[in-house]
Amino acid sequence: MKPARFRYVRAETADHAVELLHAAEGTGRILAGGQSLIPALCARSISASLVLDIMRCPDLEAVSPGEGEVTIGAACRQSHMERNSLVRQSLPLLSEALGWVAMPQVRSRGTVVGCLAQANAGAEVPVVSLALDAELHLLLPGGARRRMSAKDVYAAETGTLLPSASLIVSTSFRSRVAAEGWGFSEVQLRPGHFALVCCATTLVLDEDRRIQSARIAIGGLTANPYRAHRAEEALIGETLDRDSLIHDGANMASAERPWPARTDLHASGAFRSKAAVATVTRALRDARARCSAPNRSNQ
Amino acid sequence: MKGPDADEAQTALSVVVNGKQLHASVPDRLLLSDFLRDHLGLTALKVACGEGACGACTIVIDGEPARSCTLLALQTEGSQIVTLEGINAPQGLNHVQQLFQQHHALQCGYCTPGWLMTVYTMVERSIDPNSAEVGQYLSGHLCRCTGYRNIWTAVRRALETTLKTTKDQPTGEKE
Repeated sequence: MKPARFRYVRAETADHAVELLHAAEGTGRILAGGQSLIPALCARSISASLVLDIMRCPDLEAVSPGEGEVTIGAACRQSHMERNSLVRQSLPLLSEALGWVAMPQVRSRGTVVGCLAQANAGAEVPVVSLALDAELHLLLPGGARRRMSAKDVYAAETGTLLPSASLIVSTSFRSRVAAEGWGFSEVQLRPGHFALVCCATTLVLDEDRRIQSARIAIGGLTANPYRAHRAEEALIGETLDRDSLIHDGANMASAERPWPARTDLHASGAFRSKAAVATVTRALRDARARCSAPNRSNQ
Repeated sequence: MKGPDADEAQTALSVVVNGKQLHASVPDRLLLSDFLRDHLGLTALKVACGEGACGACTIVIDGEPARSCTLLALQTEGSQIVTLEGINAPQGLNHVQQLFQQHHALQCGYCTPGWLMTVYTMVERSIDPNSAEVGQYLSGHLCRCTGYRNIWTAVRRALETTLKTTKDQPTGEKE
């Protein structure tokens, strides 16, 4: 369980990192928190000639509020973001989901953006990125910059569609709007494990307590997460007072998966499909409880 | 200890370990756990799973518990590292170790140094002994002698007794 030889370089800036990555011609790896990368290098399931540490790049460290969004730099660690007051206030869904990522001893090193790049099946942050319409800010060889939406990053069944030799400099997540409810729910084999299935939702109600917008993202059921657009649309205009509506929405959301349900050592696809219904139901209930309709005092 | 091969890439590392500033040149691929154990002789931490799952190699880096087996030594440049050797009582057992002994919170002891480092940060953070956070922190460790019940008791006692102490002497917010 020791890695094969490689050269370790501490990148000074994002541009420096991309330049070195490009020069390594596909044999370089970006190292952020390393909580997935180092075990994979140790198990020799991947190899690298160059490991590029980006955690000392001052241009990757910021968490910044923007117009309706919060942008998190590639060097921001999960444990810091979990406790960060701006994230807690504007991105409560992300903050809650981070509490489900591995254990505190791993979150202390892992990064939010690294979790997006790693795209492990059953990882929480990619699911949140879909629910919060995240935009990834990429730096490409030659210095070109590009925004890519999370839905385009995870549009294939597995892995990411990130351009090669690119670096995710930061990621912008949509801020919570007034009175928006959110819910995150997950089924794990034991605390700290990857999700068998997990669900991130947000709900906004109108003045009549009817659903104005709903977002439902599901992870773990399929290798990459997906948005349940049909279930979302079915909920628009409804009131969620009846539990059966939530349950119907959850069934629809689980059924509309674009890829086969994942079967592995830990659970069958059939089990994951059922667990997904329960997970979406719980997440929607939490979101409902946290919604408040504008101009009304009810909770 | 076998030295690195002549053509193995090495990089300079400056790090504070248990309060001591160190400057070393280490192989690029050297894991932090191996650096601490084999290069510095700090053998309290144990290497078991080697992939971040079991928690036996847990140490504290810049105030947060972390796995030393899933980090390169070079990633800790400029950091403050604390291992169990750094929080040992000058003689005998420290407060938390005494509680582990009293509550029989260990059997073979292989996983214990890892637990102690996590508990050290929990105490530093004044984690509420009744909060869900306790379970989160403790889920980061495996004990194959099935000592969890007693470990939970010892950890709760540690948090309760230290919370009382901080109440007596208010020290302000900790981060």
